[in-house]
Amino acid sequence: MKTLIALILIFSTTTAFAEKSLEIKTHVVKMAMDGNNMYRLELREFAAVYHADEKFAPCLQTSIKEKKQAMLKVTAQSLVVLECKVN
Amino acid sequence: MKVILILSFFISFHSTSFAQTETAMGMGYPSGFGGFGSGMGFPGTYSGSAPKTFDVSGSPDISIQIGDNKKSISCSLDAATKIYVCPNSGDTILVKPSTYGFSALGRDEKKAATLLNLSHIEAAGKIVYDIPPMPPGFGMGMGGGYGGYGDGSVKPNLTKDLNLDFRTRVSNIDEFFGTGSPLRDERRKKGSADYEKVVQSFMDEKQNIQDVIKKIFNEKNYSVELDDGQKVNCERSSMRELNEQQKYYRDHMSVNFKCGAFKCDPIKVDGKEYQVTMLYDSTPGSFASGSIHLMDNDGIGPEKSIKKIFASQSATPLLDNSYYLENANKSFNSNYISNMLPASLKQDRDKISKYKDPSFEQLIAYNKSICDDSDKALDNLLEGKKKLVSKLANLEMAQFIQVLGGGSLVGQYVDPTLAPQLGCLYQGVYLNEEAARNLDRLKKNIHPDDHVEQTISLERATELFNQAAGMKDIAWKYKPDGCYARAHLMARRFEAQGVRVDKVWIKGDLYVPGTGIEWNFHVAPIVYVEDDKGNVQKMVIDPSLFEKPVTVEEWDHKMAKKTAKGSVVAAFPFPENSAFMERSTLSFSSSDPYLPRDNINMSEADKMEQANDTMSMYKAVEPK
Repeated sequence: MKTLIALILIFSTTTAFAEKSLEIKTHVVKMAMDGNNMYRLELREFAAVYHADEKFAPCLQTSIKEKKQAMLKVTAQSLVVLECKVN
Repeated sequence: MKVILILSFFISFHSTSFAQTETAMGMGYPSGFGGFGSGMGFPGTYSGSAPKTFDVSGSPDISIQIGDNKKSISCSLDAATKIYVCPNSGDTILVKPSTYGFSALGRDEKKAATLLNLSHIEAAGKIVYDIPPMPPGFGMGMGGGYGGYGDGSVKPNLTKDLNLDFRTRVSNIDEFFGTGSPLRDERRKKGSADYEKVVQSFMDEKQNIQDVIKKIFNEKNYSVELDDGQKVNCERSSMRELNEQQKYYRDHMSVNFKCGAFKCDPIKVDGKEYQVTMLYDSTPGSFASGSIHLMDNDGIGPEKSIKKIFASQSATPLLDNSYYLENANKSFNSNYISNMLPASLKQDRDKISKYKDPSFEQLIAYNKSICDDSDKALDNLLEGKKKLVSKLANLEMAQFIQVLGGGSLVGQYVDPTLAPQLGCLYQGVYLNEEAARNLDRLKKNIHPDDHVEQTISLERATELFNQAAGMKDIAWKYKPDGCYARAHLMARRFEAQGVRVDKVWIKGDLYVPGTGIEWNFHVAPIVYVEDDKGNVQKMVIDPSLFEKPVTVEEWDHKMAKKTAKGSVVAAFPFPENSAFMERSTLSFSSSDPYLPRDNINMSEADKMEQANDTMSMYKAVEPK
């Protein structure tokens, strides 16, 4: 029983601290590599600097070059891209 | 026409140039290198390039011909691996069906592993495949698509350096056998004893290449030939202790950290002596071409490029950039950047374009994390870069505003000598044809009306500020983004109370110290406050950053900038290349624009809907 309570506590604590995410539709305007091998993104419909791992480069580039809307899943506070889709 | 082309280049630069991922340090390799050279089509019987599988599964024996050699070589199927073994005067060839036909692994005239051009195959007396040999440079192998220079537009007469040799020979073997990692090596299908003997000979060759090249690529000293023929000796800096994360990568992911910063002999240019640093990622198989940097007390010196890098143990250079130096003096990125810069920079233009390349700082940061920089060579390079690019900050630039095809407004800084050819001049700003056509709609945004009748007192401004801060539908606690939505909702609500509202915008490489907030731009509503003496001042209402109305100067100073120069004022929409030109830009507009790249056809209802949707989205994630 104690173990169960401890597990529930751990679960609820980690859930509370886990960063929420947002899904945004946007056009990527610019991507530039920073010193940490992450891309700094400029999005047409948003003001903040967003960050993306190298693995999202093809998707982000498609949005830039073909001027297509990208669907980005991002962390709500640190603005790091978790998923990228371009139709 | 030329002007239009240049202009398109200017504008597209900021949309595309940094999108490149390939270029790491200097010159990129031609596209299609080592890839599938599809798209050329096979002449003759099998014209077209559509993938096709050739079924020879019923034939335990086949005969093959290589290139234009008419000699037939007999092959027997190794049943376990489905690979044909073709004894050929001691240099056994292996042939296997592949997506596009067949691949053949054998040896070239120097006995080095290579993928061969199959030109003819017969199975059970029937011709299975027959094509003329490919001309040099179209080294696809028979339908295999491996090796060679896939992009036929690239001339293939590249000097073969050890780096290229490493990539081609090892990757030929790995691609054929599907090997290349411990797991993949283990999963390789095993065949008969005869077949395994042949495989072992290729694996031994691979191991030999790797051993020799790894040793050479780890050497501490290299001799470097520069593009002007000068030769310098360069010594690799020592490694510093890796951090915990790097140790983890090294120990668990086989990442080989190796300092890529070299201190070279000083060299003289026009009688002046310069300290020389080389940045070169000497990892076998790396696409890096290396870069050389001259410094003296005045900062970064003249431009030099690396032609060849030699190790003491090998007469063949590790790296040979001759082809690229002859055919493309600068990197793809540098060309883009160079074309963005005003001609008035003269000789600094090439230097700035080299150091503005984002990969430069990335390279310095990486090497600083693993190299001992006790002589501050890397720090000095960074300082030199800052000093060099700061020249951009004081350049006089013209502002060009366009309405693009879809109706989007875009502002840019452009070379003032080119600007008059780009469009017509309106109050100090150049407009393209579409913008000029829509001038009646745009002019109150380009320069808001300075004559303000609806001024308010500071008390009233404070009242509006408090009112805004209390708006429950605005996500004030969500700081990272959403200023445009907040600004629009506030503006319309203040206006509904009869207050004149405009907007102030700032563009640059912005951050708010101590908050982790980084913005490409920021916007807030402004009201006009009149004091007892009749002086009118713009005051910003921005509860996301302040606790009371503030002047534009206070608002501007709250945001730190990573650019060399502070803020300058320009018309709206602000130039998007402000940060590139090492400055931040303040612009004023009416309350109408919703985003800096506004679509001029966007309705007010759409703007309000977007503003409300954005706030709802951020409300759901704002801290409690």
